[in-house]
Amino acid sequence: MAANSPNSVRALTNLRAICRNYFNDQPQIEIVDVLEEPHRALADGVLITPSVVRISPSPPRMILGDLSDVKRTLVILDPQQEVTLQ
Amino acid sequence: MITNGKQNGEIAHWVQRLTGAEAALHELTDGQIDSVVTAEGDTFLLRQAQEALQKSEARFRALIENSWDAVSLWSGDGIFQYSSPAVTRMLGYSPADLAGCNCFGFVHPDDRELFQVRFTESLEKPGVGIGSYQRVRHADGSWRLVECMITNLLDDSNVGAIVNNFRDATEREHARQELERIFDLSLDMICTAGFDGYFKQINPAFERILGYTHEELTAESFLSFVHPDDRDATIAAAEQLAVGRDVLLFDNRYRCKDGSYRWLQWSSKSLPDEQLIYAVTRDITERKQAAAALENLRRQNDLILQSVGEGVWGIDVAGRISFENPIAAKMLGWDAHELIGRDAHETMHHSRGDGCCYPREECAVHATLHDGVVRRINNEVFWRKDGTCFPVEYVSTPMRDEGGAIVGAVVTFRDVTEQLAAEREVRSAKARLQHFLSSSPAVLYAVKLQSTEPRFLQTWISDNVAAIMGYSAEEALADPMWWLDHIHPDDHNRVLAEYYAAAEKQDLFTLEYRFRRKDGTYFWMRDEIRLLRDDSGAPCEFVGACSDLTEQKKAEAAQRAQEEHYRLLFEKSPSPMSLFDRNSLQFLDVNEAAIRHLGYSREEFLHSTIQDICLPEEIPLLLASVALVTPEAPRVGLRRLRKKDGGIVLMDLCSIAITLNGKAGLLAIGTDVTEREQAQERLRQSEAALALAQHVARVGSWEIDLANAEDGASTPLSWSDETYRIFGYERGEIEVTTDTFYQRVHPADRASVANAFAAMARTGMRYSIDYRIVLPNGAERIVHAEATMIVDDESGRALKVVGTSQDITERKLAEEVLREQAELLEMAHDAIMVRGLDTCIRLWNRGAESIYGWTAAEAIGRNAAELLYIETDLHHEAMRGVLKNGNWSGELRQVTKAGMPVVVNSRWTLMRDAAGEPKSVLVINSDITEHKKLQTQFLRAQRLESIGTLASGVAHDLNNILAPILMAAPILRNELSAKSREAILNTIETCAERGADIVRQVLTFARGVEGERLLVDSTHLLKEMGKIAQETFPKSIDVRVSYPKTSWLIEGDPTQLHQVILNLCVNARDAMPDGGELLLSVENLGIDEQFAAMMPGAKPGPHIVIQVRDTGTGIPRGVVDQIFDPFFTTKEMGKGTGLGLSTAMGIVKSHGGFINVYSEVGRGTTFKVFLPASPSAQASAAKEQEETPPHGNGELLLIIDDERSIREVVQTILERHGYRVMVAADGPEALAIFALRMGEIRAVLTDLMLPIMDGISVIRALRKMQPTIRIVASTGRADEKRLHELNALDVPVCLTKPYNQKKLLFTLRDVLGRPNQ
Repeated sequence: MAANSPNSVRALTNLRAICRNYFNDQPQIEIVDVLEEPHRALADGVLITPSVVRISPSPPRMILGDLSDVKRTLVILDPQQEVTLQ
Repeated sequence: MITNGKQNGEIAHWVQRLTGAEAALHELTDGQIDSVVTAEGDTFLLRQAQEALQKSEARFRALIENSWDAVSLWSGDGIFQYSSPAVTRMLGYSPADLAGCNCFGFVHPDDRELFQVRFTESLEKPGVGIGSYQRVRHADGSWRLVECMITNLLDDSNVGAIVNNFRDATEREHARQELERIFDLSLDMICTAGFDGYFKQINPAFERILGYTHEELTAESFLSFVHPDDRDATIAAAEQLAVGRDVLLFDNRYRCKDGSYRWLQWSSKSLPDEQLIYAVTRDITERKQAAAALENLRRQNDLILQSVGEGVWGIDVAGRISFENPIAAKMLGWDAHELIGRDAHETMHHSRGDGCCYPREECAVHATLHDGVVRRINNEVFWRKDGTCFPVEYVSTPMRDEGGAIVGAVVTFRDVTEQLAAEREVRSAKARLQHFLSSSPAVLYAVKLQSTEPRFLQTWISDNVAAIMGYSAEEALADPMWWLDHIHPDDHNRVLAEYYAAAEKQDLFTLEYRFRRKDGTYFWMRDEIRLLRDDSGAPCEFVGACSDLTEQKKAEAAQRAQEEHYRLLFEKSPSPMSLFDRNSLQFLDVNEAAIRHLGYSREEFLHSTIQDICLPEEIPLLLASVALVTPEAPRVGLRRLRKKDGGIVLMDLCSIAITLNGKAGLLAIGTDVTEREQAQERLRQSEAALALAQHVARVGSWEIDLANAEDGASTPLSWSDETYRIFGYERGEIEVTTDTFYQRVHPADRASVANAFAAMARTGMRYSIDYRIVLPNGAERIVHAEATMIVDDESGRALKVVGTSQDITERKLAEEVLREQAELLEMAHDAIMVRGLDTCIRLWNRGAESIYGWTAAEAIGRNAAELLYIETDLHHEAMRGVLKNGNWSGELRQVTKAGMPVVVNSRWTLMRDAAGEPKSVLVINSDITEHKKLQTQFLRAQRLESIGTLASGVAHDLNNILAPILMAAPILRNELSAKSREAILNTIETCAERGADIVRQVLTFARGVEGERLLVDSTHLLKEMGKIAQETFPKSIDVRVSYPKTSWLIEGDPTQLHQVILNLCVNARDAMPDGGELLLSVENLGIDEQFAAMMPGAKPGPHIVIQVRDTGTGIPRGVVDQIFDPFFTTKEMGKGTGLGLSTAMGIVKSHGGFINVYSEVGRGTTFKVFLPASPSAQASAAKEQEETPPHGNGELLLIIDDERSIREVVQTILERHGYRVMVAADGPEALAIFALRMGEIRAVLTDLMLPIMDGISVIRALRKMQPTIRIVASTGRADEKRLHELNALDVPVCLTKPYNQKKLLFTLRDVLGRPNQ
């Protein structure tokens, strides 16, 4: 996230909703503020905010944007979900 | 066949008789022969009977025994009594086998019952043949179907048996059954029908197909089943059948039980004798539907073929084109279906794009034809009909028949010219881009973002990275973190923070940071980054451009230092200075001095515009001057500004246009001049007022300071501006003293001026004097001067003299002129009078006194109309004219005091008062009474001369008329028959009438009432003249008269106009001593401005043109100008006075017209008399003018005419009407121009009479250069010979000069619009 910028806040809200609705609140979410920890973000390969990096399960996957496209987000976060979505 | 019971009976009878006769014969021969012999006659009869019987028996036996039919005789209970041999043949039993057997025993048990019925029936109906069918056992045990006819002849005495006549019907029955089976089982419908229109027999197929029962079908006429639309055809077919013609393959529709219709195809034969039709029909509904579907499909295919956007053609196995769609034909440049049958390869595929031969064996289409493989080709060309080719992309597909054999190929193609061009363009655009990238001073790069590791990847960097950063592109791209690692450590955090903050918010942003080169040095860099997004809007890539900022950074630092420097200069300047935006006029900055001067704080300034502190009335001026400021031209001006405390400051402002941060601004530097300006302004105002007053009054002022004056010495004078002007100087030009003043005074007036001045000095009297001065330029003026001396009240000493000078030259001159005019007025011979608008006479000069006899005292105050006029109508018209137009002139008949008539040439002028309102009329009348009398006499004398010239002709004519009269008179003395006398008297009468006619015509001229202005029909005039000419001119002159249907009337004196035409005719006659043609014609002509410019003396307006044309000797060029001079004649002494044409000219001019002459030596002369049409013609003429003449369209025309004025006028007209024009004055010049601009010049307008080379030669030369050039000839004379000559040169149009604008433009339009030969 980039501090409290509107896009970043929206992304976080969307991510939490997705975790609640589809993953039963299982995922652990770690928030990195790029403005405070730019090097940390860079190390994770984050050049654009808001971004979500799925660290586990491997391999890591990344989604850019505010996650308002739930379907697309799910496809990347958990390809298995695609089936249930149909 | 056994069908007839009677026949059966006869056979049985014969059999019976035969049997009986045989028995009788046996009896006779065996037992009773003797008794028979005894009676000789009986014997003879017997023998006869015996013989007959034998013959008959033999015949019958032969008949029976050889018949196909078998015959047997049964007893009443069915016992065989006789069997014919045929029975044996048929059933295999001999007669002996059968004898005594009962016939029932042979009948098949199943048939026996029926047989019994028939047999019994036969017994009950003796003599009637009863038919029966039954199976009968053959001797070999098989059953035969036997058809028999049983006739009971038991009671017949001759027979006494049952005759059974039968035959074997087994074969026939088999055949019948077979036929029936075919009939019933046939899929086709089979029927017989009667000529009565009903089915007689129909097979079950009818019921099956049409759904009716047999009964329903036969109950109604078959026509009632036929579809109404097919009924007529069906009736026609039936009629064919009725006359015995077969009808094959006839189609119609039958209604089914369910109401639907089915198509049936009939093959019918008729037996007219039996009134029967045999028909086989087949349900072809499916076939019809299939055919319709096929037709639809074919049409659809056609439509598809027509409408596809691509070209399609097909070939057969021989490679010939079998079809093509319109697009293909169009693309290939052929007409529809023109391609069909042509060899496709030969026609359009024979060569490759580079022109080299394309062998048929390599052709893809032919390959498809052979192996059936679909081929797609995109690098070949098709050739058009016109020999050009175009690149195509095509697919060749095999066409196969149902069996799968290849029967041809279809090629669909499209023109890829544009596609190839587009591809080329893309390639070159790529190359361009590459060039731009490599030559850009910025390093360009692209970084791709991805959802997998590595999350970002530098994918591309421009090659100039090596030059700018020292790394190769490969090195730069090798490590994703390469870029970040090279950012200056001090900038690292800042850049990252800036980056993230910016990237979150916007897609385009700029970062500035230091970057490490490969050599370890850092440089300032500007990184412009743009984030790219994919279709869903998610970021996917960013691209950037990095440029070296080192120089810029240095420059910025230097600039900052300088800015500070100037800032100080601005702030600390003692002059008020301000900067403001040029558009909004908002203050952008003010210096301390401005704040001090005007009292506003800096904040107050920055929140206001310059308008806010300007005085409202000066705002427009301020805006105007702001608009005029340019960087090159600063504006300086005084402005009044309002201080914070409300006081007004006058600032001398210098405004300079500057550019401030890219915006237009103004720098204003002011100086406070409030005090200074106020003082100066007051002085200026008073001086200006004085100068203005002096200028307006044309009074100059002067002063002599006497305080310091020395006696006798030159004393300085002080002059005002106006005094300088009066004396012919500019202020400052000279030092004015009393000496210089006296130099300017006219020598003759110097003494009196000096005396007057001295007198004032001595006595203190007012100085007032008029004197002349001579200006430096030599002009003489008259000045009136006045002055007074100013004396010191205390000392009584003269202090100074203050005076004025006034230029009174104009006044003096005017007075002089007035006096002279009054004298002239009195001395003039003309009567000059001024009359009020009430016609009351106000002024009456001496000339008027002498003309009219009334003294001024008598005339003034009288009504002019009463005093002078006898023609009040004309007087009113003159009055109306002068009120309308401001002046009028014309001839008036008036009377003198003594009552004598007087003719005056009167000129009236309206005089207006100062406000421009009509006040009075000035009338000047010249007495032309004498002049008129002389003119009348002169005209009459000339007319008599004309008649004199006619006299010989008239005499000849009269002699011709008198001769028959004289000859007839003596004849009348003799006794004659009434009829002869009648004829002679008629002759005399006719001759006398003709004589009287001639005399009357001559008198018309001789008598002549003159001075009348009547409406004259020129056609009438011309006809009359034509008649005289015909009567009196030599017969070798052919006189022709032509005139339009309606000619406009003219206002004129008929006698005088006659005289003019007669004059011209007599001249024409004299010009044709050897005879020729005299053409008199009249036409209407609207003269326009252009025409008038071409023709001296012409005025625009409707005219009639009287033309007198001869084919005589013509007038030499040098003489033409003199012919209208009085006493000029080319005729020999005694034949002419030389007054004819000058008189004619005089008459025509007095009618407001003019004469035009055109003559060619040896060809003849044309005189045209132009006379203005009467006002009534104006309307119709104006209407004719309304039609707008046609415009050209930039066509280049060449005009050849030696007459400069005509060239210019024609050029002006044509250029004004959309043509381009070149002009030439003679043939050689024209040909030179034509040779240069040959392709461009659309038409040539040439005069026929040209110097050096005549028009015809010029036309010939032009034709040789360009045979098709359009030429219009113009000539003053269009005779038939000339026209013929022109026609031969293909110049069908000839403009007759002079021509008006409309004629010219219409002619040109027609010629240019003519198709080329």
